[in-house]
Amino acid sequence: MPDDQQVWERIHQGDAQAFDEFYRQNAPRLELFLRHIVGNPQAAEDIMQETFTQIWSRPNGFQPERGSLRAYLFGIGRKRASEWWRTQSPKDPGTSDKTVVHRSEISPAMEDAFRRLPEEQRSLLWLREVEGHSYSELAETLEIPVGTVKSRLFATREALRKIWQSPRLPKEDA
Amino acid sequence: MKCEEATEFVSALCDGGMIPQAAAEHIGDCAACRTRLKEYAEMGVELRRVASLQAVEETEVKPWEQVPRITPNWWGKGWETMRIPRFAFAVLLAATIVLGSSLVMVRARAHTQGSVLMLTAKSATGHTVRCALSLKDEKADSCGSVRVVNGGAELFGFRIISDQGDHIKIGVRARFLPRNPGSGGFSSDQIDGFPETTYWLQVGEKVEAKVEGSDPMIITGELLDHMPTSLSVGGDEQLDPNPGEVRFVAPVLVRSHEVVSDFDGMTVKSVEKDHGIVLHVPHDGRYLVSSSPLEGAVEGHIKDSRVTFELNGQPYEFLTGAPVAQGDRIWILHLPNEGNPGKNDEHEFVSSESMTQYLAKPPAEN
Repeated sequence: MPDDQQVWERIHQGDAQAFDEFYRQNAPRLELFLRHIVGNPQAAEDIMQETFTQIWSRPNGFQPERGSLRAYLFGIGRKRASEWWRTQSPKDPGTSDKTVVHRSEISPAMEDAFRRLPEEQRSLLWLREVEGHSYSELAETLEIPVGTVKSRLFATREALRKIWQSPRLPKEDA
Repeated sequence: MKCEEATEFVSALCDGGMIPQAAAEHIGDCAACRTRLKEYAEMGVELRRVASLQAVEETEVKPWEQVPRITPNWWGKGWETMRIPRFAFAVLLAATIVLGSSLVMVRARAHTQGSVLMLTAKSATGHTVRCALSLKDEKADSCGSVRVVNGGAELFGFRIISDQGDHIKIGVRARFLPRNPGSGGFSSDQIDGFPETTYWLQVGEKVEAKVEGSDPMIITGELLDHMPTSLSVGGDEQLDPNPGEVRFVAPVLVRSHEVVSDFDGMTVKSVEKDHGIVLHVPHDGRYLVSSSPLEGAVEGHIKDSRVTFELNGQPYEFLTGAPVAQGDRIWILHLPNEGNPGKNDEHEFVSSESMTQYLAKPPAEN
């Protein structure tokens, strides 16, 4: 399997097949991550597409010595998700948390608790627990020092634990 | 070791890392910490289960729509339609500058490669802002400045759009905002919605750029082969601090030998009487640093570019890029986020403030 450097060199040289492969391998996970960050499947799909478009259109951004390609990809996705949030008004129906996918089908307590975390904490914990990113990858993605990654992971887990254990989670709307 | 000291290591343990022996012993003997460890692990498992159930199948993902990679020619660049994004600095800096403060702040991340445009902007009030902008590193291609002046504040934002040798296209957002009694002050966020004007800057020549609400400013630029280290801002590059001055150049906060926060590229100085420096640490709170005692503050010691102090039994250090002050004593007051949860809690920022005014206000206004 080619490493990040090899993949990137091919993409950088305009190899559409290499990019297509990179897209197929990473797009599903990035889209799922974005769904949990923006809470809107359509927006998540758009942001995912924009993220890959940015990488293809501006292939000078990745620096292998600074981190992995995966961290770079999720970092761009997360930034675009943050930009998307800033364009949404608090009551914009398109941003409703109610649009979180499949919520009623699975683990409502965890999903509800997770959804109550701030966006940055959701990103951090998802990338760590689901995507399995290392501390250094998280530092690259979130543009924070590794020491801060550790302390924020702790703060996030503690916040989620308190919400998850809360006996008085408001009942969700149908 | 106590539970409150061990809990962060419980989280580290969940991540598969090694932890100090004392922490490991405590967690082994403490039922509460073991319960927490179990709960953290369960949360991770549950999240992964949720993710597995929701996994987006490859077939569900919209196929990649190949877009041609276009390199616009010179004329094309001049006429291209440009989407105007928010300034990166406005995202990074959520600083609120209170009335009466004399904050000057420039944000330009350090980087290690590429050509650099040293942009100098002189406003109609005579103040000068200098920004080092990378032509190759998009993470260092923008900067912003907020300066409180008589009657209001000058808010400037600059970014690189493209370059053709020594002919560089820049985006400028600039506005003078008058001081309104009763308003909360000035914030870099306010620049966010300013209209952007683009200019072609020829190295060595002047460009007159419009400033909404004021007379135009003059922008000049020179090309450098590296990102310079800025000791301070406003054109003052003296290594030694002036009498009465407290200066933090790109500080790093270290607690118990672990980096808590890195104010990469941020420089702030306090020169006026009663003024001090405020450093906002996400998820932790604010650290007020003053050359004179503050109620509730601890005394720290200055050694050149290092400030050491102790809080709640833990050793702290601010490591900075230049000498901090002429004296050897300084006072640090930590204000946790309690009472002001979530306020500007995403990014580090620094500011210079009147300590009296800052401490007199309720936390929600700071």
